[in-house]
Amino acid sequence: MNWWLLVIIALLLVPIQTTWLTAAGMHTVHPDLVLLFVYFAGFYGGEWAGIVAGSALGLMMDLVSGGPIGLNIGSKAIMGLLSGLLGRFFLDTTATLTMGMVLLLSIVDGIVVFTFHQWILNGIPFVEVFRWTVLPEALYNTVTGGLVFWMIVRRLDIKKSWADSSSYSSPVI
Amino acid sequence: MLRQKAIHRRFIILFLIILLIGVILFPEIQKRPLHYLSQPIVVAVTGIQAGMTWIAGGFTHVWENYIALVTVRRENELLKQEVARLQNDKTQLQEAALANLRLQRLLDLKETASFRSVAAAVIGRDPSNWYRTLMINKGSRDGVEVEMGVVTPVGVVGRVIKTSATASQVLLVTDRNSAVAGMIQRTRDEGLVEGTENGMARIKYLSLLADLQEGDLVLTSGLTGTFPKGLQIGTLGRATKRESDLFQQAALVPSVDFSKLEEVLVITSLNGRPEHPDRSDPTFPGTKGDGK
Repeated sequence: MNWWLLVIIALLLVPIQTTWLTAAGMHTVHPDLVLLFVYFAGFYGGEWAGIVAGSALGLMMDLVSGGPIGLNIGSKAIMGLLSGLLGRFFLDTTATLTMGMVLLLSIVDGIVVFTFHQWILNGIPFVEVFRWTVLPEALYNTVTGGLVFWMIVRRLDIKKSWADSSSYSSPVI
Repeated sequence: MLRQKAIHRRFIILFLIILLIGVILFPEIQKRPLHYLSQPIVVAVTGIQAGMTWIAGGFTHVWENYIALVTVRRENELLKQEVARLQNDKTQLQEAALANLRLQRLLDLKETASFRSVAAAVIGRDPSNWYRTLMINKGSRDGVEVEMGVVTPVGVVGRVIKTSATASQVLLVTDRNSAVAGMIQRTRDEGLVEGTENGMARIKYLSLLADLQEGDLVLTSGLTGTFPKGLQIGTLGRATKRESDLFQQAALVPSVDFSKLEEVLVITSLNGRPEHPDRSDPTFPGTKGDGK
């Protein structure tokens, strides 16, 4: 269980997303590295790893985001849980399957955040939000997720933690 | 026998002396007979000269281009390093010149504006795609408070929504949660500028009688305490006007390019500025005492 690596990544990932990654933004949308990390942590490490990674990185995001504290903690923890549950169905994955699951998770994440906004800020037009924020971000995440899988996960040969042990509650990163 | 030989030698010497005197005294002899006599010798000597020069040239060529290249190679490496260093210096100088220009414009605004302000550098942007915010490197320790306005020489940026001791978060005018009181410069019609989902802005609650034209300048109206009156927000885009509505609204193109913001001014007080602005203000990036 490499929790120190998780902490280091948590400390680095959000600053990277708020500085360097904005240069890679298209129009006003940039990929969500936090969501991608939570997906991989949940998928390869199990639900618990996904929830912990999602909560920790969500807190980091909330601290430097314009939104209320708790929005990203909740949404990213849910994504971590869903990633872990998705991971139960697959012993291994491919780049295409990864992209499909990242697309699905990104859209679900967008809908969760939209629902939260709808709850605290009435009258947000769903079609506009979906068109300008949720869908572009999901597509960008999908492409980035495929690249991350191909360049990092495959090259480092990261395996599921429970593939060769009885425990699947710790991330093997 | 020896005597005869000596006499014969004297005659030869005498003949040569007479011949030499004759050659000197009668130049015609040089032109004709001696000329013909010397030709083969000259041809032979010059041929040898040419051959030796060719050999020397070939040797020099081989030496300079194939053998003595150790220093040239080293010199080439040094020159390449020098070129790389000079290119780097040039880039840094260009960057410094651009930064100087930006800071000069910011300083001009700071000195001529009717409000007190603190300069700050942009250090980050919102991690999510749901909010449009900036993080600046000045916080409550520098006198920055929530609800203070943030501007550049080009126009309005937004307002401070969160502060810590050393940093603050600025909500851009293009965020859907932002609202700034605006006014159309030409017609003096007032409305409310707010952000849209696509990262642009619009001005709402304009009178149905307002005569709107694309390209009209939209300024702050000064009705709220965040911004003074007359700061540029953007220019009007297409207006939408329906008879069933009580108001009309129009798209607004912000004056500021938020993706390229590097330095901003936070308006700390609307109550005027010092009569003699202090250029060594330690809160201004790059000025003396800033520690940078």
